[in-house]
Order: sequence, then structure tokens, then C-alpha cells
Amino acid sequence: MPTRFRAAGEVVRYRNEASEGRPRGEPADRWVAIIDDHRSVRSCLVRVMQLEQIRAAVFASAEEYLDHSAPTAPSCLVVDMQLPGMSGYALAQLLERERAPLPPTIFISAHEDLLAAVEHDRLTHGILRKPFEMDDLLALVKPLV
Amino acid sequence: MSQRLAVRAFIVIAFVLGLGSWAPGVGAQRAVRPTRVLVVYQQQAETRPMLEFAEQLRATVSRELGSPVEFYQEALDFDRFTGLEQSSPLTKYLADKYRQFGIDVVVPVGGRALKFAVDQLGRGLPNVPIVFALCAMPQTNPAAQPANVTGRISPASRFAPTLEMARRLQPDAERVVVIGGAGASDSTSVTAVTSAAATLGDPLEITVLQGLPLDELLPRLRKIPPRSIVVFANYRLDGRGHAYEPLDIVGSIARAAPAPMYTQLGSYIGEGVVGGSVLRFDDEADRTGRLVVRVLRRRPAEPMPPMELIGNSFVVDARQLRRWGLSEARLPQGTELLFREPTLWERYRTMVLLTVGVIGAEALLIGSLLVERRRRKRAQLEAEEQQRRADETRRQVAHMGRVALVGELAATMSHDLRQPLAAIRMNAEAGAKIAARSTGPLAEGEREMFGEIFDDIVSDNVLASDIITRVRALVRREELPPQLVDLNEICRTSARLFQHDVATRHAEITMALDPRLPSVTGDPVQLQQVVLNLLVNALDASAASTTPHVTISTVARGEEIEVAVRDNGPGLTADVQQRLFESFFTTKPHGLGLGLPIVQSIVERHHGRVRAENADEGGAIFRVMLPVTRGALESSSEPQMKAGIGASSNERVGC
Repeated sequence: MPTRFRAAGEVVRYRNEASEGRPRGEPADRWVAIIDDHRSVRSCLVRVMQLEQIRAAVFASAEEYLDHSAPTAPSCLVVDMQLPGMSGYALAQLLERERAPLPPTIFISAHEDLLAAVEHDRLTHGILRKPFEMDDLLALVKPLV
Repeated sequence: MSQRLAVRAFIVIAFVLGLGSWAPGVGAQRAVRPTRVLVVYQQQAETRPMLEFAEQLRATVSRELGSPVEFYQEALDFDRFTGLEQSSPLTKYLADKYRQFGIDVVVPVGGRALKFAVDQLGRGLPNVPIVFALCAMPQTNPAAQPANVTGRISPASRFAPTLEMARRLQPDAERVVVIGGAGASDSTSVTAVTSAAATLGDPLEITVLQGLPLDELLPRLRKIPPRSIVVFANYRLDGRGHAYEPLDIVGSIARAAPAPMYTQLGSYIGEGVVGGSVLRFDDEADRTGRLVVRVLRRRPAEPMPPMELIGNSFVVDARQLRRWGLSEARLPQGTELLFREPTLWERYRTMVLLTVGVIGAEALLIGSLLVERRRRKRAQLEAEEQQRRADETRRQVAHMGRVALVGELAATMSHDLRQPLAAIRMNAEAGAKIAARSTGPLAEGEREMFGEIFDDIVSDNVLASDIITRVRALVRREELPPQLVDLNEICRTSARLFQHDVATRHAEITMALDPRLPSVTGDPVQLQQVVLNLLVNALDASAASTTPHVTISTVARGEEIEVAVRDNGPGLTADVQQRLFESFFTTKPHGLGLGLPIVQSIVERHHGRVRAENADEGGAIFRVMLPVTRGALESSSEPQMKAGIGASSNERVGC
């Protein structure tokens, strides 16, 4: 996998990954976007995806994600509810409104009440309360990639 | 006394000189002869009392009459030339002497002189008016006198009032000792004393020492009991026929007596007697003189002026009162005190008054200064005490406020702790997963991954510890030493603290922070509390809106920094705006009403002010103005410190 992973402190960005190039004809559009403002959560999730051979890109905020220049929409969004600036839900709303269709979105949060508020929302594909089992995440993500 | 004499002498001399200088003017009226006054003394005329009397009489008559007067005098001296009262040769001599000479008025002095003037002299000087002086009853019985007689009547006995006075002064006296000579007038006086003593309310033992020669009298006198009232009746002649002028001996008698002595003549006062109801010769001479003038000025056929009764005049020697320890307060009303040494007060009254006044004014000044000083000191102490209490209250309120905030913070804190805890757990799980998958020795990639995982775990652990430390700093009671504080940083961390709330309420916090904001000096935790409190209120207020929105802005305005927190809630009513900063005033159902008072207290302690107003576009806006740290204006807005919970490694908090 061309995606480069670095040690703590370095945010892995889609742009960097794109510059590595992808094998032609491959279903290059199967990837997961992870949006979380907590650095170690991001790196942890990326490691797990890497282990499962799932391509992933991470973003520290909704704004950063909206800024990305990937040619295809991700197959799945894993987004933290609480983000600096635009919240995870607000991002989902915006994407649904302006870049429809909205990819299946998994909301993650450390706060149950936040998750409860979106549990039965039409924009919600799934919810995960931090800390969650890696298997639970993979169970939600794998069918989508 | 001598002074008075000198004055009188001066008057007489002045009068004589006056006459001398007036004489030439009289030349034209040489036909009018001077008024001629014949004074007839019963006693010898050369005694001091009589000389005093004569002097005063002359002065008064001359002054009152206003025309030339000539005085003639005959001293009958009946005490020494006894038996001459009826002497026809004496009568004939005087009649011959004055009949042709012409006398305008006769002034007999003394009872027997009066009798002689009426009975004997009258024959030679018929119809010449007679004005008597110093005469007592019964010789002066008005009914028995011819029409050409008038004068001043002494009471039969002056001893009654004198004894009454003595009784008042000596309530414990047991006896009356009467001292008298052997002469006729002495006997009259002694009788008067004994009869007066008999009429006293309480019967006192009466001892009469009469007619004793002086050298026998004095030893006798020394032996009388001290609880005695000694009365000097009169002493002109002793038992051996030796005549005395009483004035010469009254002093030695008074000194010999072991008890207070009283008398009837004013002249004796000063010689050692206490006093009494006395005849004062100077006074009587003056009054008699005036009566003489009235008689002389009488129109023809006008009757003589009526006789006058001499009133009681109590005179007392103050020195004797002191000597015998007699109370001044017991004296009859109107008593004249002679030889009264002026008290210090009387002598130096002006100086004393002045001194006392100055001292008083000074004392008043000093006193008022002292009082003022004390008052000021007390006020200062009170102010300090008040300040101390205010500080204590503020600390308590601040503490309470912080504790109240703890509830608010707890949710945020748990959120902030959950993040690193969750990350740690997930990383650990991921590590376990990797470990479970690889059975052989670790591949290079796996080894690298484990290193990263453990690094992440450590950094999350540090983050969690930091959060706990900061919460402790916020809820502890002490104040931090003043330090440079970056308000932008405070605003960011505060907003970050409420991310959880904001997300739950679907609210939005916008920040407009001045990138070149100077720092302020103060307690970062307290200032954070200010912003947090304002933020809590703003979020609560904006909850009423469908799109809750709060704006935090900072801006430098010259020497001040303004932090404004605006909400889009219903705004402030006039009533609320007025009571906003009152303690325990709240519009929230579960509010403590301490948030804004704490804000105000903290801001004021930082020499700033806080204002609440309604924003033009709706909602309320709270502005906190704090003074810029001196010398910090030029420095950039580099964060001076990072205070606040949840200041995570991620600096991107703003929107």
C-alpha cells in the first residue's frame, strides 16, 4: 500500500496519498475517510485499517475534509461528533445537501447523549461510542469497502 | 482703712482749697454769712471714731449744701466730766458763746448730748433746729421732743440682732459672756445685752464681767469655756475709775477671749471682734449730714423732716470668721464682710478666666484632634476590617462560584478525559489485536507500529494528567500570583470547554479575536472564570433561540482590552439589567445568582469594568474592559501562558 504512515505528530492527508499514485483499473474509489480531532485516535484507527488492508485517509476537522481534493467520494465516513468548528453532524448535513449522495456515515463520540441524538437519524449509518472495539468498527466498515 | 482716711483727707483738703479759690467770687455777696453748724459731742471728740464721724459729716454737708459752711464743736465729755449735764455755768457759757454769734443748726452726737442740747442749750439758742446723731431710745422718743428736733434714731439695743447673728454662727454655744465697763454708758450697754440675751429663744447662761480693771478682766476672760458668745458691751471706765477709749482696748480683749466676740460699733471691727449688727460712724455721719442739709434748706414755716430709724447693718470681719471656723453661709442676708481676702479666683479672675479660656480652647483643640485622630483610626480600622471581610466574602463567593462551576465543568472535564482515555483504550486494543495476529517474531512494520502505539498511549496519558491538574487549579481556593495573561488564549480554551455543551444544544460559538491583542496582568484562573461565566450565561440565554449563537470577541482599544460575549437570546429587560450584578439574583431556574457578581468582583480586582447592554441586532452583550499591562502594548499576542481546562495540543479551536 502506497499510503505512508508516520509516527506520532504527523497527520496523514489524502493529498499526500494521492501523490503516491494508484494502480490503474483498480477500484481506487474504495476508501474510508476518518475525521477526528484527536491525533492518537486518528493514528490508531489508521493502523487498524492498515492491518485490514483498507485504504483510509484522516482529517482533523470537517473543514479539512471539505478541503480535500480526492477524485472520488469515500465509501464510508467515520466522523467524530465533536469537532472544532463545524461539528460532525453539520458536516454530514452539508455533504448530503451539496455533495449528495452522502456516503454511509458512522458517527463516533465519547458521549452517549450526542450519539443518542443521531442514532435514528436518516443520515446515520452507524454509531460507535468511544472507546469502541476495533472489531465493531471493522464490522461496520468492511461491508462498505 | 487708712486708704479710706486718705481719701477723706483728700476730699477735705480739696474742699478747703476749693473754698479758698472760690472766696474772691463771693466778695460781691459778702453780706451772706456762711452757714454755721455746731456739733456737740457727748464724748470727747478726739477719739478715732468721733474724728471719722466729724470728718464725714463735714464732707457731706459741705458737698450737699453747695455754699460755705463753718463748723463749730463742743465736746461735753460727760463720761469724764460726770455730773455736768445739768450744770448751769456750762449752759450759760455756751449760751453766751453762741447766742449772738448765730448758729444755724445744732448736731448733738449721743443721747446725753441731745438731752443737753434740748434742755440746756435750747434756752440760749431758741428755735435753732436740732439734728441728733447716734442717739438711742429712750432719749429720742419723738413724742417727747420739741418740734425743732429731728435726727436718726438708733434702736434701743442693737444687741438683739447681734446676739441672733452670734447664735446662728455658733449654734453649739452654751453661754453669753458680757463685757462692760463701770461707766454710765457702759452700764446701759451691759443691761441692753443681758436683756437681749434673755429674749433669745433658747436660754443661755449669762456671765457678766463688768467693771473689772483691764488687768483682771483679761485673765478672767481667758478662762471662760470656748463654747461662749462674748459680747463687748462697752468699756469706757473701769472699776478703778480709769477711763478708756474702747477702741484702744477692744483689740486686747478680743485677743484674750477664747471664743468669738461681738460688738455694736463698726469702728471696733478690724480690732479682733467678729462683728455684729453695728453702728457705722462713717455711714451715720453721711446720713446725718444729708439730714442736716435738708433741715437747712427748709423753706420758712416748713416743719422739720421726720426722724429716721437706723436700720440693722450686719458687718463681720472675715478674718475672724476664719479664725473661729465660723461658716460664712450662716450669716444673715446682706451682711457686709470686711477684710475678706479675695480668693485666688477673685484676685486673678480676669487672668484665671483668660488662662482657663486659653487652656480650655487648647484642650478643646487637642481633644478634638485626639477625638478626630481616634475617629480616623477607628474608621481606618473599620475600613480595614470591612476590606478584610469583603476580601473573605469575595474569596468565599469566588470559591462558591468555582464550586458552582464545577458542576458545569464536570461534564466538560469528563468529556476531555474521555478523549484521551478512549484513545488509550483503543490503541491498547489495536496493539493487542496486532499481537494476537502475529505468531512468529515481530515483523519490522509491526515493531514500528507497537512503538507508535505506546508513544500515543503515553502522550494521551500526559494529556489526561494535565486536565486533572488544571481542574484542581480551578477549584482550589488560593489565588495565583499576578502574571501576564493572553485573553485570546483564555477565550479559546473557554470556548473549547463548552464544545460539548454547544454540540448538545446545537448551538454555535463564533470567535473574533484580535490577533494583535496585548496581554493583561492578573490571575489566569480568575480571568478564565470570568469568560466561562459569561459564556455559560450567553449559552443559557441563546437557548431560547432556534439557532443558538454566541460570539466571543476581543479587541484592543488603546490602553484597554475589551472582551465581549454576545448572545442572540431575548436580551435584558430593564429590571434584569438593573439587578444583574446583585448576588443571588438569577433568572435561571436552578441558578445560584453568583456568576455575574463573581465576574464583577474579579474584573474590579483587575482594575477593569464590566458592562451589560442589549445588542442592536438583538440579544445581550457583556463587555469586560481590562487595562493593558504596562509595556505590553508593543508585544505581540504570543500566548503568554496557557491556562484552562482542556487546552489540548490542538490549537485550532476558533471557527
